[in-house]
Amino acid sequence: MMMYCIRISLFSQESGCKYVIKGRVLDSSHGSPLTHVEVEIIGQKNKRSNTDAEGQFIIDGLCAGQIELHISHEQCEHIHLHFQLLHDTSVTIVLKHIEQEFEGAKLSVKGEKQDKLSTISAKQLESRKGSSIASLMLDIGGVSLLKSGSNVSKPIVNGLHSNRVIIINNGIRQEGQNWGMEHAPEIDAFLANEIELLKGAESLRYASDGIGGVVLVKPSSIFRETAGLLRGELNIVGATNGRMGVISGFAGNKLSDKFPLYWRIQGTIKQGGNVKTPDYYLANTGVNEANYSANLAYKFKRLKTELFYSHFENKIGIFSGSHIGNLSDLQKAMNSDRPLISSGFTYDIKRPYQFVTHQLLKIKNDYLVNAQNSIEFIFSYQNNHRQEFDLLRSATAYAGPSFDYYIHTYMGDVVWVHNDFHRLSFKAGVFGMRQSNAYTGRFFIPGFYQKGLAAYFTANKSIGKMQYEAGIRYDIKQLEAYLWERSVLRINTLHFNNFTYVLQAYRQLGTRSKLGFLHSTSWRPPAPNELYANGLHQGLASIEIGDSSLRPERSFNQSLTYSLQKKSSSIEIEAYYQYINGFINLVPSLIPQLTIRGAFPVFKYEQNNAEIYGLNLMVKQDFKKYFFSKTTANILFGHNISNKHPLSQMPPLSGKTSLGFDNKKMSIQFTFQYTATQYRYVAGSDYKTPPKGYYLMGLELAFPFKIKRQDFKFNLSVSNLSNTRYRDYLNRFRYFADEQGFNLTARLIIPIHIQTNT
Amino acid sequence: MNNKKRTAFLGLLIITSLCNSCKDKGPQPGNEPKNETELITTVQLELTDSVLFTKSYAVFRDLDGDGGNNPSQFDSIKLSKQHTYLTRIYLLDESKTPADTISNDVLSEAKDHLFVFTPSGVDVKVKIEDKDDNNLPLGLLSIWRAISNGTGKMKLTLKHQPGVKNGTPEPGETDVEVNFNCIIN
Repeated sequence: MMMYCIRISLFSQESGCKYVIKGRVLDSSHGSPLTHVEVEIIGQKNKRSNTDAEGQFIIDGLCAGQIELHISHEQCEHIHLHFQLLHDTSVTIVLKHIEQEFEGAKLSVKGEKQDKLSTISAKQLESRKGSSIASLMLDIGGVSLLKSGSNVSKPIVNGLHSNRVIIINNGIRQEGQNWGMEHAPEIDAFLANEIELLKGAESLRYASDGIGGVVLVKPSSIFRETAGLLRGELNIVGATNGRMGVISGFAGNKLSDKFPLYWRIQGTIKQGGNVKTPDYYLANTGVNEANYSANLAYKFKRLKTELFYSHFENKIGIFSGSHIGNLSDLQKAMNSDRPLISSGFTYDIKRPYQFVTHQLLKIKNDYLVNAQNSIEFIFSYQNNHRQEFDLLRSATAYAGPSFDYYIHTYMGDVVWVHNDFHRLSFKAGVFGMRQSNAYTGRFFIPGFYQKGLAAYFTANKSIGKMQYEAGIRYDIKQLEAYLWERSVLRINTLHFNNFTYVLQAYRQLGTRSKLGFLHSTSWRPPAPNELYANGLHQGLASIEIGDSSLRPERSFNQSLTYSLQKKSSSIEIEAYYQYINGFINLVPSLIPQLTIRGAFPVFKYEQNNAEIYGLNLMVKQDFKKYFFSKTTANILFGHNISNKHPLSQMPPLSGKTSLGFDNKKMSIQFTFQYTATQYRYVAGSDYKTPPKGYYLMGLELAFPFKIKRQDFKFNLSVSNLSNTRYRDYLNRFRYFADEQGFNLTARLIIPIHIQTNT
Repeated sequence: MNNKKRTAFLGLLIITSLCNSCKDKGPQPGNEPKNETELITTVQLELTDSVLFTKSYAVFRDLDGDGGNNPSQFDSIKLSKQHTYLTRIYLLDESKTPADTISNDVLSEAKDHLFVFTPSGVDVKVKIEDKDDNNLPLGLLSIWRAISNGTGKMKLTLKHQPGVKNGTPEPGETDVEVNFNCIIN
């Protein structure tokens, strides 16, 4: 989204009937030229151009008269410009990001050089290529990772995760078995061009239940493809630990300006073997992944239509030492310094493992009514199939999956986008969804149908030094759970409806700093696992029991943000306080449950009032010409207000400092990271006391180079440089094994530009 | 124009192939979930008195497996002082009809399994009578001798030790662990 201001200077030139419009498109924050901006004369054939690397365009052969110039850029709203063409005309168009003016959690201006607390740019993603989608999010302020071993990770946002963090993949809410702590988001990390954490009014468009936050995983827009150029990229990644290799690439093109059909294909293949800690290999921690996607779009005069399909498939080995038969096995595994199952290196993945496929089909139509108004129609279908293969009790036992979940989700969305910078900009929309979830195998959660309808309105306005943003959303949800008990079916139907709102205000303090305040509320009905779970967690030797009488939880969130942007330094601070009424939490129960494998501790879902508050901080400083430092820190406290106990599984204090050198030809960065011990836990509520805090070091080196005419980018990064032995409190396998040791990753990025004749 | 047709055809092809890949619907919530995974629901001890030839049984039964309802039957083992018993273990999956005899699978994979008997508070001597192909003990068949009066526990453990069985209870993971009450009088 952008707002714009336009300066037109007319040069009176005596020429014939043929006039020329030329111009430059600049980014308002730095005055830097914007490439790939499409400029088009409405109603005249073939009168269009794309800006080049200098941001310049030229359209000639124009006749005098009323002219409508249409300017569009990736991730931007359309801009229409009307004027009387009487001379050769030169135009300077300054595109300014609306985000800078309004958007909630975003504080700083957008630009390549700026690092932001809530966004991860394409450039930052470059140095993380080959990592899982969740680990890409790690650089966002307040984000930590909930891990189950080395291959399964999902984001924790300000202490909350799973059902409370909504991931929007390519504009569509990701619908898998999100509830599971060991279920990672099923997204090809190479599709992400930018990742952003939304907390403001904009998030209401996507969800009302993002109590932790809404994370947008944004691909690069298909409409940035240009005619006459086949654009692509090939990524080759190799890592020493796990001997992992990844190849990923894409290619795209616009057929011609006459026939504006856009296409892009993309694919990724990944294979990794057993991961190594400083002292030993972790048995069965290999991973295989194969993904592909296809994107097709057509641009009519006022209608942009887009079809997107992606297929994600992965097989993840689950560390064998974590699957235990019963509590005595668990005690034995925990008391041993080394995992009881030793292993060497192999790519083979044996039981236990997960096999997950996720397909997304999306159709999006964007109709431009006039310069201020457009309507978006989005329809999507997702098919998620998760299979979990536990250890076999015997070689003759049933060799299929122990769990087999099928989840189908249909969603539809109609949004009216109104953009009028000087007055009021708003979005109004309706959303509907239908989902079915069924399973075979061992019972953990029941099958269900889920339906939802919602209407929302978000708006922003700026008055003097103040900027306001507000949104409201109303949701109607229905859950129909199918509970089978020995061939007898019981259907429980639950209805939930409620509203959500966001209020935000920013005040510009001078030209460089800004103060922001946010107050929002969101709610979340209890999820099927919280209501009906009744089963054993193989990995944690515990029985989880749901409570069908749970009511929705409601959160009230307040945050204060301050940002300062100077030429050579920037500061961002976010302080937040969140109160959650009826926070649904797993609480240890006193009476263990007897099974054929002995007594297991029981954890029950309970509701309490909780509060979470903390501080996220980022300070960046440039020294001399080429040196920079960047420091981030996150501190968080979580309490159960009812009994004054700390909440479990909350991220401990952590901080990170990088020192670097960047002269555009080469960049080197040294990172020092500290994670404290989590002292805030209820004694006796965990099998083991939280692991000790740890220091880690990392190193990164990146430079571009050229062979003949071909550009390359090379990137080398080392994590856990000192091969430190440590365990992480937020890794569910901390009871059994150390974290990954030294790892060197090399990445070669080959941009492809082939001129095609059209 | 030709170009247009070609792309339209390509588009159609892509869409139809996409629709095909979405066809695999799997089960629906209204279908009764199949569970083909093997479950051990029942441990049955058959104790045959070596003198009187009378048979007594002690059963642990939990039909819905881990979690869910509590075990529906959990007997105590009753032994007579100075008697010797031939003990046979049956493992059943009674969630299926007819019930599946899992102990037959254990027998056929004897070299991967070991039963462990751990008395506590009662004086019972246990000697495993059956052996696997590697001449290591199995435990489906054992001889128990009750020494003196007392009340305590007899813990029965089935260890699954594929490739690592060495005759000791240490390696492997636990498939069954039932701690029976045991009374000798």
